[in-house]
Amino acid sequence: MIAFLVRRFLWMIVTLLVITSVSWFMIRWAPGDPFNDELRAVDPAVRTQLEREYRLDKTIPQQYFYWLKDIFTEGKLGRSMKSRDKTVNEIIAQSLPVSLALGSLSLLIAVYLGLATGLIAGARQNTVWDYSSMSMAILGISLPSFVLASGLIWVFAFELDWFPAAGWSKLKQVILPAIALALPYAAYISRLTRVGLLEVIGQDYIRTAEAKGLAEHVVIIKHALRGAILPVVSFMGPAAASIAVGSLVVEKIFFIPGLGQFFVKGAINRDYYLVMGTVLVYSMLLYVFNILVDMAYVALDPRVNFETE
Amino acid sequence: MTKVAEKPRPGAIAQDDLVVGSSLFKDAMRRFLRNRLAVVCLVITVLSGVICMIPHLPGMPTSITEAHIITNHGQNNLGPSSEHWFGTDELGRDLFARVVYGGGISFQVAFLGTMVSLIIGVTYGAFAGYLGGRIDNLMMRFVDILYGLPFMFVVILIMTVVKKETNSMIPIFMALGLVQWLTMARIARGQVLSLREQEFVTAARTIGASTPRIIFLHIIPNLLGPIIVYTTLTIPGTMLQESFLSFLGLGIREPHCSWGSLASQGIQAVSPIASYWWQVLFPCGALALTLFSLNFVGDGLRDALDPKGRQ
Repeated sequence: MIAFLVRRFLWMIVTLLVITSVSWFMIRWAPGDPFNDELRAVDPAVRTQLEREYRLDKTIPQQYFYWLKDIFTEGKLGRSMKSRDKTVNEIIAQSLPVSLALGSLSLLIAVYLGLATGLIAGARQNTVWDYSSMSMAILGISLPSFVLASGLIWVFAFELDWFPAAGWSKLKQVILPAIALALPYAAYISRLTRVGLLEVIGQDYIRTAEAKGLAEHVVIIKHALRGAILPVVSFMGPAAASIAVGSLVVEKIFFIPGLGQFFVKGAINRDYYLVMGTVLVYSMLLYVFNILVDMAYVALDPRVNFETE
Repeated sequence: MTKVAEKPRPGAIAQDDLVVGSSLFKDAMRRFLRNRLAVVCLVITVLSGVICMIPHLPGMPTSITEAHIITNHGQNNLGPSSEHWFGTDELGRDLFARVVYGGGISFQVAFLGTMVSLIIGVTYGAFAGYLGGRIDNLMMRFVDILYGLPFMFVVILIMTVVKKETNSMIPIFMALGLVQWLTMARIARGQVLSLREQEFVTAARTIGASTPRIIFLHIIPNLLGPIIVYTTLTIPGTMLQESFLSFLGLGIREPHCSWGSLASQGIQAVSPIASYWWQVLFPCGALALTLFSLNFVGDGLRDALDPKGRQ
């Protein structure tokens, strides 16, 4: 297992190097620059000063290597170019916990809702339960999250007045965005669980469990579930990462100061270091979640071990 | 994939097999047509596609094409009526015209984006699978690395790289296609790995066919089944991504519109005091209905083409 972790860790470094260098060249070659305001041009002397400060007077590859050097030697991601009094580390330290809090709540909702509906649909194949939960699932996949979100706001914030429509300071304000973010993922998990269960349920060990006279819910939860959720588990890696970093769209609708908001702002404003910081954090999360998924696979499926991974 | 036959029905086997030979696609067609819901969804998709594409066809009277940008002073934010079926927006533009026109844009972006991902993905995957060995390993490692790229981030990066002044669909569907070919490449490669060991490939190689010829003329046609299925599921995916982009203000720009940008405008106009519900309902409804149908058609095709019914 240690060899597995070391190997994956090395691959992660390679991947991150490729991703960050590609992103750097892309954003640097883009037209536009971070210092020009839309209202007034920056004084040339100030501009030279700023460019030196942010090391933009060097060549583009040199700039990238300086950026890398700062990360490896001091763990610094540079300073934001729009809000010049803030470092990228500070921005991420502020916004990542917001995204992670919202994300973990959504993930929890998505997993519970998805597994529950998927198991019911699979256990009662071709019944009303099955058809209704699968139609709901396709609806959840088809509806863009901003449609879901605005529907939720309309019903629960404006009509019923149960929850506030936007913001991020009270616990009550977390509920609606978490649901809006969770529903599409719940739909995917539900479909995957149903198919997983249907594949497992015909197998011998399930028949054995049934033959022992176990109750249906015991057979499904204790025996079938373990095999049925393998496809769900492999979906969870990328899903967890993208939920955790927060949907850009949901954050925008509910005015949530999460990481995704800063990425979009950074990309539009050509805030080079902010963009690089968010890309780095997101890619790292994605990679770590995928490693966790692989480890979960080993734990769940006795046929898989770390050598074959 | 080539030898798959439907599960024999008792009693009917001999007749079916002997009298009318059935091809894979005939079988698939029959299975698809039996799936009522999928057929209905196919009809809905085709209908809405055709209607939405009318204003975009060459040779159409300009009144149809331009109806969506004509602002009517004093008629802003009107509810649905016999004159404006879907009401009007804040500038007094007829929402029905805008929904139809925007739908055409959504369809085009979704279709072209999927085509870009299809061409790149299938070619890449087929070459990797056919060449095999170290090249295959290298090529697929590259795909693995790209999988680590945050999908939406890349699209946004590409969209911001493109100059703000250019108002065309090309960067949007290119960006969407460029990030969606990865799964297509994996599917194609997996299929090719088993295909290339089969006799007809060996035969082609024996008579001296070149590698590109074998890939494009012998292998890719045999990939059609899984590719068609994945393509029909990618089109709604691309449409959804485009609507996200437009919603974030990075996609289609004024005066043009897509379902995503219309929905975005409608949702931004919602407030507890005044909700112009038609500005939200009609674009969102059109988008949701189309995505729903496309997904069902994709599912139906998958069930029809792959009787084992994965996923």
